[in-house]
Amino acid sequence: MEINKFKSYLAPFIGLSIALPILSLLLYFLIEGKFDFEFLFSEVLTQYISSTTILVLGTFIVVVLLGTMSSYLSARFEYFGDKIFALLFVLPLAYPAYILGYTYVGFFEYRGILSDIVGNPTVRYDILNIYGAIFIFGIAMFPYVYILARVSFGSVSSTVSELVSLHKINPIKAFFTVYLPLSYPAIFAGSILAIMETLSDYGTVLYFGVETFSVGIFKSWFGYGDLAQAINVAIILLIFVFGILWTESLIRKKYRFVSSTHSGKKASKIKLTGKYNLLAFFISLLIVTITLFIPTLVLIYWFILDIHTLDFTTFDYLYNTLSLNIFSSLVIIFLSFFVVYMLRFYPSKIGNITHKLSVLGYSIPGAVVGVGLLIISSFIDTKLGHVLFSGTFFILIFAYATRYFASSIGSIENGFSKIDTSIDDATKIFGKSESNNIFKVYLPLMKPYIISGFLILYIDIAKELPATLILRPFNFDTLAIRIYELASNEMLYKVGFPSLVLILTTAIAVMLLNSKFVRRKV
Amino acid sequence: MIKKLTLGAIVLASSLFASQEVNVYSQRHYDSDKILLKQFEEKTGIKVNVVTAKAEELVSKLAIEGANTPADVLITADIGNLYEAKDRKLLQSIESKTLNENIPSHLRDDKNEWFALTKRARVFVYNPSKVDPSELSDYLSLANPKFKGKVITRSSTAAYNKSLLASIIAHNGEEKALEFTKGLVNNFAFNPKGGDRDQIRAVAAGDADIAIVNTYYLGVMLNGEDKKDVEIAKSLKIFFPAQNTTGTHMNISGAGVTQYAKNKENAIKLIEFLSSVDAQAVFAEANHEYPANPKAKISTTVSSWGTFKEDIIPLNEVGKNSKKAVEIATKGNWK
Repeated sequence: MEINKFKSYLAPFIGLSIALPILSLLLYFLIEGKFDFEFLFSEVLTQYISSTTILVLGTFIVVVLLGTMSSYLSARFEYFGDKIFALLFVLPLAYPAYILGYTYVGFFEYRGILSDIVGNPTVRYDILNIYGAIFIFGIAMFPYVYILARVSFGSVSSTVSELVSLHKINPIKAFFTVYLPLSYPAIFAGSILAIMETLSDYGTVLYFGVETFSVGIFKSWFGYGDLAQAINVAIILLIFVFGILWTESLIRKKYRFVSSTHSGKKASKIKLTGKYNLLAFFISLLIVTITLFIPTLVLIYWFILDIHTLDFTTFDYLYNTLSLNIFSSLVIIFLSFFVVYMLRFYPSKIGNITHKLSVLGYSIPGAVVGVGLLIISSFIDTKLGHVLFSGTFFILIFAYATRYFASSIGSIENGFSKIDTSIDDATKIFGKSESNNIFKVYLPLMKPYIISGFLILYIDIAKELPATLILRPFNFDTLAIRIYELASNEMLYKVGFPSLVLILTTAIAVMLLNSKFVRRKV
Repeated sequence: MIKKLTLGAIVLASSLFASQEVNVYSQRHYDSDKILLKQFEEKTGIKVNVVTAKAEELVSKLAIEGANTPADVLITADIGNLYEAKDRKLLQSIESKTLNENIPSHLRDDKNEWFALTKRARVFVYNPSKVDPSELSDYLSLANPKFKGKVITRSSTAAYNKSLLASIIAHNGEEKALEFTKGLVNNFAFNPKGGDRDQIRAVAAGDADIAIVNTYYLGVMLNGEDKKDVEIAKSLKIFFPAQNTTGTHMNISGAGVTQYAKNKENAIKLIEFLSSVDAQAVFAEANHEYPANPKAKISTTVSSWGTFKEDIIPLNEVGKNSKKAVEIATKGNWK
């Protein structure tokens, strides 16, 4: 019994530790007690709130539009090129938003690539504004909606599709009246992920000149050297995030009935012919051209432009990226497995609370997490009297855990939710020992979910920049860091080669994530 | 006995070996810097460990780490953050005859806590088909309503603009600086966005006539691989502002030894090396900056722009006014 009690504290302990960088900032704020009410009603804050709201709403609309269109097409229909499109729709996930931003600026700018293509130097389009930012986040994040909604559209029961064909409803009308309402929860869940990632972005919004909360945090912090005000902004960001999560949970409750219509025999895909086949093909082609082909071709063009000064040290950065990311992802995914396992078998109220806290980091800018960790590690090191944590990989991986625990734990929870409780009972009765149960029963059952969680982590961490920038040890630069350095020098074409290498690695992870082996059970 | 001696020798050797390193926090992420640090390693046998990040982050990091910091040298790409580090007592005063010889006194701290490595001139880049250079004078003149809708520059949060505004505060006082900010914002062709290179492109595109930028961006464009960049850069001209008054605002890229440096001697050696004529020429050639060491050779591109009167106000005065510059920029609605 004593041991069980001890075990019930393990998950809360890990959850709390993961939330620590954010909690330490809150704690600092509570101790200092400097909530600036004047600032709360200031013009600056109104600016942050309005830009953030427009950016979030705009991104929401774009990801929902692109995400539902693409997922509806690939889940419900057979048309020309559908199998290839199904993969191409996921691939933008391999692109960090800032790289998409650079490529589109290079494409649309004065004497940019577009003006070369049309042969008219005056052709250009100014995207360095909030609408440009919405466009970039929209195309970078729509695969989140696509991936989740595709499952939802695909699992519509045959009864529903039979009714649709019985009433001779055309595909477009059927989409709005039947399928879309059935897939709301998945679409919302996907767009929430997109919104959280948009909120945590710093580099892209700064480049596009959009004053969001994360820009506000750094303006206060670095411009005025005012940590308290920076935390004020961060707390308002947190309230904003809670608001979004709360709305999402309300919507999810409202549409809970949906799951019942997904049971039973799955509806088969409809084979499109004639003009509908053509329409589906062109819509798909348009989506992948904008989200994938143009950015990739721009990078290839830059790569060719710079080919005679090709930088072979890029492969050193690749080695660092791969070793750090694979190791970090492994650590975090097994930590997630452990936490979810412990919460399942040793549940507690406090465990539920710490679990909610541990996923907060997903919407917090990486640099805030980074500075939170700097404060904690220095505090401990100072108390110890010698340097144990500061500037180590441990701290960097800790930061990744805080940032991305939400995405890995989501995958593991999804897996555990599909393991019937009768299996738990059986292992309790027949199992030799707990560790034996974990290794012989749960880990094998959870394999696809662990792999998918690992891949998601890999993709997220490979794209991560701000926390890596602040926390990495000496002489250790990743591809993302290299790209940042080159882009800071404002010679965009130099980012071509390292970006292509980075995207190649994340694209492989995305393709594995999309492969039958992982998807079969997820 | 022999065992003890061997052990002693090993300990001594390892401690000697361990001391042969220097840890650098640098904002400068140019490949030329990497080459220079490698040269220093080869020349001295001292291992250089580097971590790069944004200057504000590095200064925050130094402050949070306190006495535990592993960093021996801080290198930034502007005076604002270097001064911030000095002001927060994160740098220490050092004695170096070499540095005193290599770096002119107005380009180093009065207490020798920081030393300039390169100078960066903040100038006007203009479209010669639209602007008569005789109409241009100093920075303040850009607030004149005759330039309405013609001027651009990047965000006031960019370090280079912050320092420029701080220098205007130092020379002309807060009131004038605010007046200038308001006038400038009023004359903006569009709200600040993008980097210096984007401003240069916008002038070439005809979206604006005059941009406030650092010269080396134009230098790098002129010498780049992208032919269109070269054409764009060639179509524009540089004007060195304030030749009849304060002189053109010169920001610096600079270095200092950290307050809690564990490898102080090596840190000094490194900064001395970076100030040498040869190293300075590498800075000057690779990134088209102005070397801090007056004896160093400047790049052909840069020398083609000619000589000009530089603002030699003590840079700590600029640093001191950095926070005020942020306030004034906010008040004047300079995004």
